[in-house]
Amino acid sequence: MKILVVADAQPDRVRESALELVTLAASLPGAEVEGAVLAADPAAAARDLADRGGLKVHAVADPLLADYSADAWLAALTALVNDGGHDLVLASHGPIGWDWVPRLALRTDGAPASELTGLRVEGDDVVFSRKAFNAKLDLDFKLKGKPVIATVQRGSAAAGSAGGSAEVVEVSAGLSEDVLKGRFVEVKSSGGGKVDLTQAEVIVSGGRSLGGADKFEIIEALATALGGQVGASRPVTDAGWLPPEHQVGSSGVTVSPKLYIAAGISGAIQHVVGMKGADFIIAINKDARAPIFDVAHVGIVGDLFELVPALTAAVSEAKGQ
Amino acid sequence: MRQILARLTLSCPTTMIPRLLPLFAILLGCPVKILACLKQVPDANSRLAPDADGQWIETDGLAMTANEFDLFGLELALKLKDADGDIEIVVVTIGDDGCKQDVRKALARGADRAVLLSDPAFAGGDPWSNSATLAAVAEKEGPFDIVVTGLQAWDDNFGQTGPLLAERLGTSCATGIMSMQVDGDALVVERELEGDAREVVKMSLPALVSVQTGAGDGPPRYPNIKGIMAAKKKPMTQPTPDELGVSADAVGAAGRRLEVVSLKEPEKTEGAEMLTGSNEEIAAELVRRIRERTGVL
Repeated sequence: MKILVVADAQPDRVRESALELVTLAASLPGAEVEGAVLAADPAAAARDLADRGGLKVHAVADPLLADYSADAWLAALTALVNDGGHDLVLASHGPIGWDWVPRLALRTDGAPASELTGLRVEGDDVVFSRKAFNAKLDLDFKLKGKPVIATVQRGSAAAGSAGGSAEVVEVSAGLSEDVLKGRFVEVKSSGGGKVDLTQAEVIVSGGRSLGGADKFEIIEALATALGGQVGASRPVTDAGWLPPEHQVGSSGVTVSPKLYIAAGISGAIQHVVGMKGADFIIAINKDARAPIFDVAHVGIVGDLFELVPALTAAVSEAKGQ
Repeated sequence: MRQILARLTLSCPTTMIPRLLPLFAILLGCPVKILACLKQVPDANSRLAPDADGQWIETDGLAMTANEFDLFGLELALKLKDADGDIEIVVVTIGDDGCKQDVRKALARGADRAVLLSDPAFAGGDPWSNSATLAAVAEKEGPFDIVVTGLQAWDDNFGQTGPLLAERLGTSCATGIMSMQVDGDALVVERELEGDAREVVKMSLPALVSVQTGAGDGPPRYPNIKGIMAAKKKPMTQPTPDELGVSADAVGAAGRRLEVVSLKEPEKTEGAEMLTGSNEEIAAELVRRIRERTGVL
């Protein structure tokens, strides 16, 4: 099986998530794994992927690949996959991957898959695994059509190597301006940015169950008592109860504090991927079946409006001793 | 103006003209036409369980609601219509008669008319076949300048239908957008990136956008009484595959590329150690654990 791993690249290296894809790809029997880095000047990042991933990497170069553009990526990747005859193309699930992956499946008359957590071979078939219904259920499925073009949830495997010889093949994409239907204008910050949760040792996060901006006082009080910061799940920042920089999860920030307290957060996978790296996780939720209890170390089924103030009082008392 | 353009199309045999029509329409000052896709999903608070065959969820007795991502998408479309009342918004839903209430609500919020794909041939689709269904609607009812979908649906969380539909229609495409505005013959959108960043993209028309929750300023509007009354008179059609000019083999369950192997409750991991007791007892125990495990106290 011929597999192409498409890396999210920074100027001189690939993101760790690209090496997670290499691990997954190399785990399939008979896997022949290749990589691809797309950029205006992909040489350094392609070399990084080839060396650390132990595989042959296509360094696809074109001035139109300087900034991310679905149209430019699709034109370059369609040519690469049609020429290469890949059976499977993997990319990390995120704002870049989910943007082009389904469209490449249609262009190559293959089949799309998204947010995979695993894949395995059963008989002649590849079986794909992922979460569905906001991580409440596990879905396994097969796909008709080849190649399969898929995004993979970050953290689904450890970063690894295919164990082959590192080789970089330079490819000139030769793209024409005509392919661009959407044009990159700029990247901008959406607002404040005063809060940096990535550096916090303690994060106390509230979810949709809080019910309103004013209800976050009890979360803030506990965070203050613990010398930490306030975090939130997506519905909270969507509702405007807190600014976006407080959002923890796949569309917010990924954090790894010493202590993470999740209050009234159900544990949708989009949130969990952003906080499961915390050293110690305490979850408080009224629903005993909430998936947050699967990632927490300690859980309490109860009313956060009573328990959080009680904990704040106990923390304050403990500090006074 | 629309009549002139329509005649132009009829008199011209080439199939390129309908594709170019939106551009002409904009340049000639014709009102923008928007297709807003709406999916019905289980309510977020529902207790879900796999069905007897482990193929999908048990839907009997399940409370259903409009997908939140789609409502944010509809809201962005309605905001454009707030500024220009001539804009026409067509809502499209794949689903049975049980979806009528959510479709009516979309009309009550301000959409102009609706297409409900309730023919059994459209049922049981995956993103591949559902995007084929929606493409047939877009071509039959269009041409549309802007197609709006949610970034994903709350049920399967695939996030593929929008980009697949864009690819089928040959439009420009941007996913996970937080805002959009028409700028001459282009659509300027902000895509949400990770963390705090947004990417501004200038898209050619016709365009498809998939919309992230939290888009626009504030939550999607609720229907008001006037809207609810007006919605009763707004047209809702329920075409068959034949009427849309699409093969029944390409849509619904027949057109799927995804075959479910199993849908299961997650295996119980070790999970959290659950604490019980009075709030004070639990708080004292948590302080002890925090001291022991983290050293932050």
